[in-house]
Amino acid sequence: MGLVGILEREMLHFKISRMDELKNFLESLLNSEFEDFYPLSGGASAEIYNIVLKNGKKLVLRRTPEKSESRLAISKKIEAKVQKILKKNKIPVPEIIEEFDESSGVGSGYIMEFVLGETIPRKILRDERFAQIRPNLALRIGEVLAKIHQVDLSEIKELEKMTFYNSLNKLYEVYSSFNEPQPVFEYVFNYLAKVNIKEKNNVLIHGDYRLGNFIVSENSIESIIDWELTHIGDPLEDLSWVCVKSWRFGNNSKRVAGLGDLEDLIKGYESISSETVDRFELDIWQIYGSLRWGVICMIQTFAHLNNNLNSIEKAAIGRRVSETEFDLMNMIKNKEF
Amino acid sequence: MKNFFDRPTKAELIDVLHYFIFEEIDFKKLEELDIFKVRIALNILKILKRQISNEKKISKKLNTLSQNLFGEEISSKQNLIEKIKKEDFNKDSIEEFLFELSCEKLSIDNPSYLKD
Repeated sequence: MGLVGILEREMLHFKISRMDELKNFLESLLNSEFEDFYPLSGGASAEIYNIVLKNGKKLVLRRTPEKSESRLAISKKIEAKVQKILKKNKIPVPEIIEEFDESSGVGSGYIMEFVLGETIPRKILRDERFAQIRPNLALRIGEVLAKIHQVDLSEIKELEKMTFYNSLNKLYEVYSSFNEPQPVFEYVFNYLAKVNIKEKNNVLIHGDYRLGNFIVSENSIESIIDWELTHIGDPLEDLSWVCVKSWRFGNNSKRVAGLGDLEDLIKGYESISSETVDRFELDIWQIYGSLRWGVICMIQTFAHLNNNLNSIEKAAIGRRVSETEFDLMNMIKNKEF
Repeated sequence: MKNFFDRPTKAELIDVLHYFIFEEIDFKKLEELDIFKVRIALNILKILKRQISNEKKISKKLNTLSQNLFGEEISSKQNLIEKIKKEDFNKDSIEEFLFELSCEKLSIDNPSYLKD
């Protein structure tokens, strides 16, 4: 076996022993042995695991490993706090069961209830079992979002406040750090910097409000998950993000998550909120949204290119930047949203 | 001497890798995560094949377009970035060029996205 093979074998042993260490810690925290414990795909900073206890009860772990940094995500402690406040406000989110911090030796994170339902957008968009709920989902997405945006912010002082221009400047900083300028992105950053948008930062923003972060059953939106990008900002940020074309999975004529029309979303939102949705500003936020997704693709691929983190998924996502460039120019040049 | 390598050519090597992964690996024996990764690997091979076959043609097409729109050939990505940063352009021309550039890139990275 060559040096690379030996290193790979050592790394595998290291991963297995860390996984055992994590499992032992969690079994002790929950005071229960596990029947099963396995990783799922993660978010911007989080690792996600399914837990099955000996008594058959299912739970979910969200964890940031030790010394793992994210350029965008909040800490797991604040994430758990926000989720508890949302639960108190009757927003559909999973209940937090236990929390742990860095002193645990296995990173920081929390264990939450397992909510039954579907999160895979293509299944929600195409499976027969969701045929009944699909026509109403865009409206419901708007209603739930309006409730999130009404949460009292006095208990959540830790979150960053971001206006449109704050967000744009922060995104440009991240993008510039890769030293790999993209002509379309340069043009769009310049275009957006000149647009006149009202400076608003007055509501709790989910930050990644799209179909992949909804747990959907045949009857309802059961839960909104993945709060690691939450902050205080402009309501249009969430309203437009769910419209970004990358989340339509081929159902492009349906602007809201490939499910419904913009007017359905706005109708649902305005039925709960006192805010009137400004369509022009929503278009601008959607352009920002596609640009943001493009930069997130760069973040992912440069994690592979710069940090010696060999990952075929992260490498491949760099070639999805062109999808966002196409969407951006279609919106700006052809006014096709 | 333009091409001194033996066959299989670059494209043929990619084809055989694609064939091996797609036809000879038993997906039923793989874990779900591994199937996902193999599909990504197959997709990378397709991108590579399209780029090898088409990049010269695309460069030529974009050069002709930049001549028509700006009266000059844009020789590199950096050249285009400088033009954008200096705002040395007519709005309609630069938007036309950037739209075509994004279409050409997408024809390599994910042509089905253009049809959706």
